[in-house]
Amino acid sequence: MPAFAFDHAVPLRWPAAWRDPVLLDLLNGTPINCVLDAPSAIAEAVRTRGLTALTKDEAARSIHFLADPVWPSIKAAQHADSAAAGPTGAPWVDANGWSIHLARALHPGNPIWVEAVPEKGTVQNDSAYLLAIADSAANGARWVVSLDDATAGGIAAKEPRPVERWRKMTSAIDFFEKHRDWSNMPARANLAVLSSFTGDDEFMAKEFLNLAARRYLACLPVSKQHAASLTGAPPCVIYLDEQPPTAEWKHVLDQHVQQGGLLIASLKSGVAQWGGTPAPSPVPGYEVRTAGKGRTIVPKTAWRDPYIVAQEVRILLGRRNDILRLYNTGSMDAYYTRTQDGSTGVIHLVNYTRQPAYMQVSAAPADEYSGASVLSLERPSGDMAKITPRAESFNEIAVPPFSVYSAIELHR
Amino acid sequence: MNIMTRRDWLAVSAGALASGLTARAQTAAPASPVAVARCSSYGQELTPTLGRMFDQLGGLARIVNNKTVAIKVNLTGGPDQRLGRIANEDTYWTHPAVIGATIHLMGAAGARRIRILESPWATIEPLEEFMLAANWEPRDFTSAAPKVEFENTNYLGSGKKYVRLWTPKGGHVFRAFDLNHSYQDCDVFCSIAKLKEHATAGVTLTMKNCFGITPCTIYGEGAGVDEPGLVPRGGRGPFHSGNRQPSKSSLPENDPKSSREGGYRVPRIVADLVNARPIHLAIIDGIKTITAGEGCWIPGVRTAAPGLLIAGTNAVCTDAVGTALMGFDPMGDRGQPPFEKSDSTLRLAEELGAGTRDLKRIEVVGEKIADVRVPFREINRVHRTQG
Repeated sequence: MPAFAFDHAVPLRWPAAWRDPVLLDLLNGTPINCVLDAPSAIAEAVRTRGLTALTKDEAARSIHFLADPVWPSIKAAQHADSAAAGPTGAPWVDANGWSIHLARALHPGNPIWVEAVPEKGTVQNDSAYLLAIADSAANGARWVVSLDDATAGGIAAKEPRPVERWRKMTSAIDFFEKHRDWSNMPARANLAVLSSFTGDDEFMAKEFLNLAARRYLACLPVSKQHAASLTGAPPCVIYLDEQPPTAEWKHVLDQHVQQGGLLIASLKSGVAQWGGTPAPSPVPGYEVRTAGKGRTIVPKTAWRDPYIVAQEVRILLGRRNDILRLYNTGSMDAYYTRTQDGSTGVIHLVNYTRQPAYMQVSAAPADEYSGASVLSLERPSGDMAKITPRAESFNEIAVPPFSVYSAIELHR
Repeated sequence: MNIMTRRDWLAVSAGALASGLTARAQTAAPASPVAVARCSSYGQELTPTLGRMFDQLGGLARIVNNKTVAIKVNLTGGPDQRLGRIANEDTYWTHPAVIGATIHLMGAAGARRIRILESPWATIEPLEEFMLAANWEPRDFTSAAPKVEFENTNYLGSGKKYVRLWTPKGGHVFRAFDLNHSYQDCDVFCSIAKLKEHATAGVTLTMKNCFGITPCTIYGEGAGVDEPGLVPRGGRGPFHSGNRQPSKSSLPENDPKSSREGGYRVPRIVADLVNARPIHLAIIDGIKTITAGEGCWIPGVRTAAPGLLIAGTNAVCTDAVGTALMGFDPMGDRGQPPFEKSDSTLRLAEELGAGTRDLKRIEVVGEKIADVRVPFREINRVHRTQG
């Protein structure tokens, strides 16, 4: 197999309904350049056209396939106890963002592909596919284009609506590929989440990331196995695991606190025994100590419910440490990235309702910028946006109505 | 031939009995003066205007001097929900300038301690943090008077146990409520509300503001079944629909078979609440507000700037004047604006002896109602006409 630049691979799972190689013409003029699991005759035709045909096993040598991806969607709550309801009874959002960020931490350097597939027997509409594309791309991954049978068949039969759906999908993929540089920008987070993310630690750590995302708590996952320091991490760190950190990590965390950082740690982490001066806690059930220039916070009883932990940590961090405030974003996910020098930032907004918000959406980053433009799948070339000054920074940018995805590009 | 069925007879008899009760309640319910003032902005004119109004009511010192004061403000919904891009305080939240000015005046009048209370939506987040998220600065309040504190009352908070406050006459729906300790650990209870209509209850003024004194850990959708939940989950839907009872550790409804209709239940529960936790000082921020509902989630709400402040020492009287200033008849009831879909909280509270809603018995000081009335429905009609 010739060398292939996997960083630039844009994948399509070849639909079973597409039996004629001439259907490869559909890829002409699109960014899709890699076909997965095509029958041998199709795979040969793919290669003849200068594209790449791979089995999933071949791809998996260079690509990380996201584990247990979800089909991005929103599930409206029927009532508070409904399985579809979130812990507050609010609509629950199935999103892959937090999981992609974790995969990027655990598999640094590997492109992340998301094989979320429509539920068998369902027919997805245009916006559902656009959401699948945006859910991955906004967070720096690529969705493996996977069509439901009816849509694939309709496209093959040149039916107008499926063909138009395909056009919208490839336009959206093209939009994200043109802005691929955005995904190389470091995440702007206000909490580093330090864990092994495996074994006994896996449930709490992953659920915490999932639930923290719903509270717009921007988390940077840090793997104990893959990282050796907190370089580049935000000043607030949570250590979720139930075993004390290794001597090396204990040293790193202690230095972090001494230099002014905040460390929130599990009861069994042993951090409570590190000493320090007791201080008041903003949340009942926690012991706060000042040490050096920083603080440690440890719960008085072991954490059990990740929902409670996410809620309490949100409060322990305090709003003064917000990096981004959002208004009327309801069931959206937000991901804020910024170049190392701080000159450019991008706020990604993914709208899981797939309908323009009822109320004016706006975003207010903590960082100062002098210029902003707002792009969306509806308006891919973008429009200049006004930055409205507000007290205590958090200057606001209004976001015009959008259905699935919008990005605010910010410049100093 | 006019034949009266037994059902008709019962209905008439019940109506006659009710009107008799109402007439007796109107006569018996206490009346207190209500101050009304024009105030066009939240700027420099605000504090002196409020101070003058308190003087018209007999002076703030006689109410708060050397007392612990609890102030229930109205921060309904979340800090990340807004009507367009307008700050919530300029639409449907009590404005921080009104809260700050009141705190300042209370401090100057000798209040020993002032505690700001609210039960923010589904969170145990400290109230200061909730305010910061709305771009408010809690330090503005703590610097306005000595010993100013905050408490999120949507759960147990800093208390060791919930306190039980009884409705003296047994209540329409509940004979007692279990609340955060702050509602008992005070000498003076002040409700600062916004001048607003309410989709369910018609109006939401200083009495309806007290709907939010109930902890969702006990009365909310996700409340604990046997014991209060540790954290509030969801809102107060059960108060509207009666789809569940409070945690069993608290008293259930008097009659779980009573109507489950929101327009029946919400006004009665509010009347019960203000009888269980009487309001000593009622203040309505009508400088800027919205019409047609209580928050941005109500379709058709519009901004309005009535430029009014209202204050009184009796919540029923104060709300009656507020209702009249919005262009409604405080003596109106179900079927009449703004009570098209609900019973009148004013009437129900009056029946419990909390105060009169009869403007003929209420002394209005400062501006006359007729001179400063701002008909809310007219504002909304003009908005609709003008698109």
